Amino acid sequence: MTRAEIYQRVTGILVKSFELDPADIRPESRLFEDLDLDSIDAVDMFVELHEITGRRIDPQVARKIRTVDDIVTMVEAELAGAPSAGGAQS
Amino acid sequence: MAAPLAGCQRRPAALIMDPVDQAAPRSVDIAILGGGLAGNLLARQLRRTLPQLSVAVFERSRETSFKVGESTVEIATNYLLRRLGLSTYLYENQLPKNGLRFFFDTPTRDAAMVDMSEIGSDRLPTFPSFQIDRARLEADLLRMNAADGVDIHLGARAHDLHLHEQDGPPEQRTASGMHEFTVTEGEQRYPVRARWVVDASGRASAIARLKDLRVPVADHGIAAVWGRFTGHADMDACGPDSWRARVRHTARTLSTNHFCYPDYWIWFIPLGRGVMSVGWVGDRAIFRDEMRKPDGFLEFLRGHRAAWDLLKDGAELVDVLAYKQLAYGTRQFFGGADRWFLTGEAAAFSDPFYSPGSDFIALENDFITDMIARDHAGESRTQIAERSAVYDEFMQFRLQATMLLYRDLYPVLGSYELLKLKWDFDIACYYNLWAAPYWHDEHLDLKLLQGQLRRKDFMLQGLANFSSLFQRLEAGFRARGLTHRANLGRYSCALDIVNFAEELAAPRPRRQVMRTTEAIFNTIRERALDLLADLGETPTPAERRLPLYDFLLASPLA
Repeated sequence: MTRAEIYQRVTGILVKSFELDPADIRPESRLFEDLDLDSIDAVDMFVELHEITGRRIDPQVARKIRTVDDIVTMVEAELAGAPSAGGAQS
Repeated sequence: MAAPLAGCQRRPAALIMDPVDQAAPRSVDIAILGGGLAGNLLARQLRRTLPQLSVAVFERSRETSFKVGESTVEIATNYLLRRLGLSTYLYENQLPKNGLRFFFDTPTRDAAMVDMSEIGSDRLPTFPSFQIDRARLEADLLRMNAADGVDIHLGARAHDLHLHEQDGPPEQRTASGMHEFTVTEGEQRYPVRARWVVDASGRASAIARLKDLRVPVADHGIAAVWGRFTGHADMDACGPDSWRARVRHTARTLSTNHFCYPDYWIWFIPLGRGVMSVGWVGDRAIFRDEMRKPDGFLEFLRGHRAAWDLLKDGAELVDVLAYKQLAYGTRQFFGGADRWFLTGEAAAFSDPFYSPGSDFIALENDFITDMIARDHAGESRTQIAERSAVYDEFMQFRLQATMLLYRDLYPVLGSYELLKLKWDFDIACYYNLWAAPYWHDEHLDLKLLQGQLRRKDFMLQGLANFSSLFQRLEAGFRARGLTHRANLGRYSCALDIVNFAEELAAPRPRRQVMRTTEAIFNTIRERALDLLADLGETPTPAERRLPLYDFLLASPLA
């Protein structure tokens, strides 16, 4: 899966799960501040991401996620099987 | 429907015994192997739900006997009252339960009961439960079921079971296309064919053996010894008036009373009519073979002042039973498409500490009844198979979550402070995550169940994280000699943490359940952080409150 495809999947999840307007979602969108997600939404998002990657979400990486782009980076690293700790930059 | 028995289209009469050994096969729609609690409750449920189907129960014993598992909790009780219509029966014939109650002791086990720290209710809990004399309940259910048209066979051993599996190899199919087995009843022996077979025969489970389903639980080595006493002291006549006033003079006797020690506990459960069930459950490393015998059991109890005070003046031990290994699992609970099912201890058992046994029966019997009803209504084999797999996965999830309550946590039982923390966590999670969804039949909604199962790995991780936190606290307490520091003189009400009980009267959106989960998790973690501070340990992460997702990832909570 290319980075662009991952981005499409991630935005698809955000639109479907949280009824967001696709036009509001940009790579730099902040999940909590801009997209108005909360800690419960984050659980749902992790469940969805887990189903894409089939790997356990790395808590160190998860805690650093701030933006849509951070999610894409995390999924990309996990799909590549690379150690993902520190893979997301805020 | 299977060919109905002669003259029993609506209300099946008893199978008529052939006098000869080579009897013609008899047919019944649903055969239940085992006439104990699980089998009899299911028979009642099936008659109430699907009166057009014939039901036969085959029970090996001639008489119902003393069995452990007297205490029901809130899911099972809801099942008995709401689903099975046993409210009047239970209030008239069994004892209402005053919740769970825990007492704590000194290292030398010499505290008087009234001096012990105590966790327990000071009012009858909002959501009812009962203390049940199993032998009496099972005898009454057999009688009620027989009157309701269930074909009851006592002293009937079912054997040579041959399950018909439609997609299996030829040797796993029967010519009749039905399940077949032989029954030996006294001098008589006759073949039986059944469209559906439910194994409710307890640990001896025929289907578990036939299909090699039993899974040992090697990492929870817990044994139990128990017996019945008569002539015991009245717990509610003990101590000064202030001690009784502390619980507003509600009956402590009616609670499931736990005397708690590091690595084991002793129960006192009233069975009514002057009989008290007393049991020991603990780490197998402590278990000694002598405890299986009356003298050995009494000798063990004698070493615990509070428990012994209730027995020493003339109590008589009626009988003693024991299991050396309590817990086991199953590879599969239900073969819905092939019309076989396990319920009760034929399937699995975890640990009696919170009395979960009859909760499992409630879930299993609901799932079995639902699958038989759908099958009978013509739902496709593929649909039944899909539903059976989801129900099975849910039961496995439920069993895993239950094991997380107990595995590696028996050392925690010896400390009032630590068990108070763990109890609050466990009872709040029980009401929020398991009991309330059951009360609103959410477990029978396939979509809701599938949604829950998608999150199961995260939820199990969250429960495991708390287990690790409790283990860390216990190790710290033990290392510093603090285990018993608050075991005398304290009291706390058992249900204080369930401050969301009012919300549970109606189905809640998942989001609300998760919010409550987040609040429970943070409340317990904050209290754990205070205890860690007592130990001089600094938590990482240091934040007082965490977002829900942080609890559900594979990361220490402190």
